[in-house]
Amino acid sequence: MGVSSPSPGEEAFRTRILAEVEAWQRAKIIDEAAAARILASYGLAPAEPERVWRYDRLTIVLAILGAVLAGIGVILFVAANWEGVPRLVKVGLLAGTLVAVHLAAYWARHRGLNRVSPGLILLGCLVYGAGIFLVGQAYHVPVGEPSILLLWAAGVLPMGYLAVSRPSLVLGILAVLGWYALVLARWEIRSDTHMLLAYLSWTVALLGIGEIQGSFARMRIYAQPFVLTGLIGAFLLILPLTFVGFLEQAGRGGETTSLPFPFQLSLWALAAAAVGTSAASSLLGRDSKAAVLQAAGAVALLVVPGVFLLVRPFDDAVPYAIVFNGLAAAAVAWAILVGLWTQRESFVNVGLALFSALVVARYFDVAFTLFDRSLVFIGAGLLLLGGAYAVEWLRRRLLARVRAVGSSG
Amino acid sequence: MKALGWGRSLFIAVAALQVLVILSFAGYRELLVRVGQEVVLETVPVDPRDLFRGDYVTLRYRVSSLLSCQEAAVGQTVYVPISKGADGVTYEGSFARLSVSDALKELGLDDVFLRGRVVRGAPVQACEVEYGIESYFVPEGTGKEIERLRGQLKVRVSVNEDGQAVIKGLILP
Repeated sequence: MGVSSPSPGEEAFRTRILAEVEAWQRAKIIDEAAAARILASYGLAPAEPERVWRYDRLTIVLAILGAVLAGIGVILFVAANWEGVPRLVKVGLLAGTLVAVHLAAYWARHRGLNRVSPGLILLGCLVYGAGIFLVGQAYHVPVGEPSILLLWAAGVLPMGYLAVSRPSLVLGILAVLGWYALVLARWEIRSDTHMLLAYLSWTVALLGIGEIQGSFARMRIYAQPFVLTGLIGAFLLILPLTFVGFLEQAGRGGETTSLPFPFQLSLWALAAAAVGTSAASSLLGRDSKAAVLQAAGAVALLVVPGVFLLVRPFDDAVPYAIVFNGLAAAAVAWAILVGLWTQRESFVNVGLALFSALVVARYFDVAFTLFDRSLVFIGAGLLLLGGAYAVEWLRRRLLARVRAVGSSG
Repeated sequence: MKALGWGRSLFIAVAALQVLVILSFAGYRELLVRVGQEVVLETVPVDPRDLFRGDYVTLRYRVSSLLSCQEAAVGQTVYVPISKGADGVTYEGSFARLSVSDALKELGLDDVFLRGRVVRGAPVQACEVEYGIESYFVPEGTGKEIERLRGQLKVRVSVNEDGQAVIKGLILP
């Protein structure tokens, strides 16, 4: 577009004023028209927030898809194990590629090419990961070595924050979770229930970290990756608990004290972090009642399964399935309520997704025991057709209500 | 040329950090390959596939199974003295020590010790130890060929003074 680059001070002010206007709009201090007038008074076009903070989605998606495809291509190159090239040359090639991609991302960002730079930043993070994997391959570092994923996260998370790249933040969060999974594999933890509780603690802690960041105007832009990863992760972990078969297969899992001490330590530390970050987010939240509801629900997602899976008051798996189905239903209601109260569509969407998954799961649970298989699938098809329409209708009603509450101030 | 602002400097710093991590990771391993003492170990391979890092064979060594780990717990670091066997080429070892100093006491002139982690075992009985050299990446599609050489394969390993090992190459029969 040929826009001359602002000075560093002007750039910082521009970034700050855009973030503040966005925050004022979210807090319903100003409406969209006032935001446009404020930005115009500083020489920023009314479309500026739209361009910077809500990009042309198709272009962004295409750019990110292109980056992901290119990144996968790099990883496949690594996987093909190009024997002819000496390993130091391979490392040099990848380091050079990484520098080139970062230069391109920097150039694109400072030339105002905001539709392309997010893809290049993500590509840089993927190339960085490919570089680490290549070094591991070239020097035969054991498969399942946890430190590789930790190194990946250590480089990706700072870039995600600095470049305000939400895909990179999600990538970094997933790399950290992958690191922990490899550490658990190394400890050879055989208890499904304890592992599930450890991952559940991670997701609730991520949710809390996201909410804490959301409490600060300058950090709000970084909150969503943590909140969404935590919320979706927690619901994905709750879902298997609603199946009687899962609990029967998981078994008792042994006493916590019989597990390796480092794992016990990590389990309690994660649980403490989950509760601590949730408590902190409830204290820092702008709307105290909504923040308390959000934090209390998040903690319940961890505490209820924790109590029932560790204490094991019932001998049969069925009562647990009833309890956890109740928890899942309560989680759906909690997510929708928080979404409506805090005007966050993501909570409503994820809540309805869990609701849909529960309905489908319970349908197959019941129908397979009562009807012929062909009838079950016919019924499933009709359920999905009708259910999808109903859920989408409900979702639009709820989101319209979220937006109406938002615009009425 | 505009002066560097905090945004540009930080971006350069983080990008440089990523490049530095890759180069340091490779540099450390390369140093280990070049300056460590070379030993030859016997192996027994299996061939799985890792999607992210291509074909590799899983290697187990004679020294992976030890007669004694001195009551070391699973996950604990142990030090395994190895010395040349009857053939004068391949290194062997049968017990682990819990400290570097204890391992050093067992060493002869050309001997070294390997640093490993107990993965399976019981007090004072046979235990399984991993040394970080259990994966060997091969060109795509060649894993099965190597698997057929099970029991005949040997591996050249470079070991530094801390007992850390890295694979240098395979010795095919």
